[in-house]
Amino acid sequence: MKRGHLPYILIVPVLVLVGFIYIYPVGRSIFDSFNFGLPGIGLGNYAALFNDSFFWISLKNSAIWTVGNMVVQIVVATLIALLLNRAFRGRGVSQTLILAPWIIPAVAGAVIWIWLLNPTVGVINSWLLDLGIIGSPISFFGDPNIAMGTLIFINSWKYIPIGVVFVLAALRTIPKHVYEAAALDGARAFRQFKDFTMPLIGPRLWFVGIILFAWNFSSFDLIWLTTQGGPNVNATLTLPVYIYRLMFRMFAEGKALAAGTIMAAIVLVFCIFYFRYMLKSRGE
Amino acid sequence: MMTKSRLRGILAYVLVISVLVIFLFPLYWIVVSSFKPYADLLQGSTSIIPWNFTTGNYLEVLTSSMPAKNVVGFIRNSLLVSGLATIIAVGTGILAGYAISDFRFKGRRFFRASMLLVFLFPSILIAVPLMFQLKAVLGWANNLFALALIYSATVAPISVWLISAFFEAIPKETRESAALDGASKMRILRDIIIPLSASGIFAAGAFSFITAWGEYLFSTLLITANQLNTVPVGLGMFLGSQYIEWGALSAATALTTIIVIVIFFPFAREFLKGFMAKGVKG
Repeated sequence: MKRGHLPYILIVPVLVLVGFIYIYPVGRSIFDSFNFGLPGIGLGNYAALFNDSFFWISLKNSAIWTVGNMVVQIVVATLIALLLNRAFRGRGVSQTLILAPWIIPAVAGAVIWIWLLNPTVGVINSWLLDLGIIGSPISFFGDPNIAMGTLIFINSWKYIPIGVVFVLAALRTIPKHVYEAAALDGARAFRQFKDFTMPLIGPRLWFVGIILFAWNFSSFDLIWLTTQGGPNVNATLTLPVYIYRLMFRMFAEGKALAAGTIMAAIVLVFCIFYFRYMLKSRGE
Repeated sequence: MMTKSRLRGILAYVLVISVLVIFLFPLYWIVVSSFKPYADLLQGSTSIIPWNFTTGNYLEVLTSSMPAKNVVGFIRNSLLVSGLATIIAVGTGILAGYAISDFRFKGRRFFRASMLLVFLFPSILIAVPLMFQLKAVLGWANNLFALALIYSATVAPISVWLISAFFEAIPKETRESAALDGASKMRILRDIIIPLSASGIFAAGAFSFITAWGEYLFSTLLITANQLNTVPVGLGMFLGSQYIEWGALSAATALTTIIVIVIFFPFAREFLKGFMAKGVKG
């Protein structure tokens, strides 16, 4: 065995795994999207997809869902990370405990929140009624004006904790003397954050951002198990839920494959932007 | 008189405790509910202590002969699948991570970037073709090993990414002196690199385990036999029925929640240390 072959041998196992489970199926489905159920190769599946108003609704909902989740998660995770980064007794325990919502499966989170928010026997509605904040129970999952917000809230409850860990990891990379210098300058908390913390953790926040983008954009279980894309059939219909419905409920394979290809293209575009930004910020 | 800094210290504690209460209350509530009698649950009991304490809900799911309610079975299946996926992901992650950190080969940067890209890829996109491939072509429906293999592929890329960052953080001199002693590349990996990166490998392993433990989509598509249900699918089936049995479901959810937390918490320090030591590198 020649020395130069060793790195290639080391990456073979993961490449076989990923090639069989990811690359071949994705390549195959992109290829199939142009000819499934069609005579020869063509754009028929895409034409059918673009004529389906649900596709456009799911695209719009996915944008609202992804942006809403990312804004909430990044802002709140950063605030909590700044709080938990201070030196105090019980810091380690707090950092561990807050991870709990992320550790449990999204399905368990869905069960828990369906139970908490139930209109007739849920504790949240009971308390809000007792306090006189609301006059009648709120149907958090059943009201088309509220359902999207409810789901963004629950999803953020699950992902903020791991976001906190990511941001804490970024904060750790700031040398202590930077803060000491800032404190000597008499910088107040907000200025300190804006002038010292942000520029130093900025590039790492982009990494948190791209991961949260991917997780939120592709999240399926929570929405499927609570509203199935409803109420009103489509109030929380995002792209993954739409594709699942097409494929496994309506058996419209051609359209599902076309929608999947578009979703893959969206992820790819964002990743390319991220990698270009990352390379630039590293000066490579 | 209280000094200003002392006041700020107290305020910080109040904030920390409020944050923890907000994030942990839902978990507390499902545990409390699981110890309430069914009649209390139906009336929407709001008491934060289960005064009419009962273990009936647990008895129901622990002794049920129905496969759809067999929580012990869900947990066993999930442990098997997630454990196996974690071992495969960490093993392949160590090898490929070493290739990235210690070798300069053609395609190295592309390989590293493609690992992140694969990790970021939405699973619904591979669900459609993969189910066809596995079920129709290979006849792998209702096969927990096939499920473990899928999970290992979904988490191996991030484990490569995390582990390579840890290997890179080990100073060059450490490996150079070993190489001078005549140690081969694989011996350096085994005797020096792996022991020095323990917390990073733990972090990658814990991350893989938790991701696999919570996965729902592939599990629900590939497994149709109730006795092979994983935890997420088992819980999801309760929600899917016309009439949700909250007694049994609250006990099943509380039990599986407590178990994964008990499994994770001993590793929590290493997990956090693993992430924090090096920082998550972009």
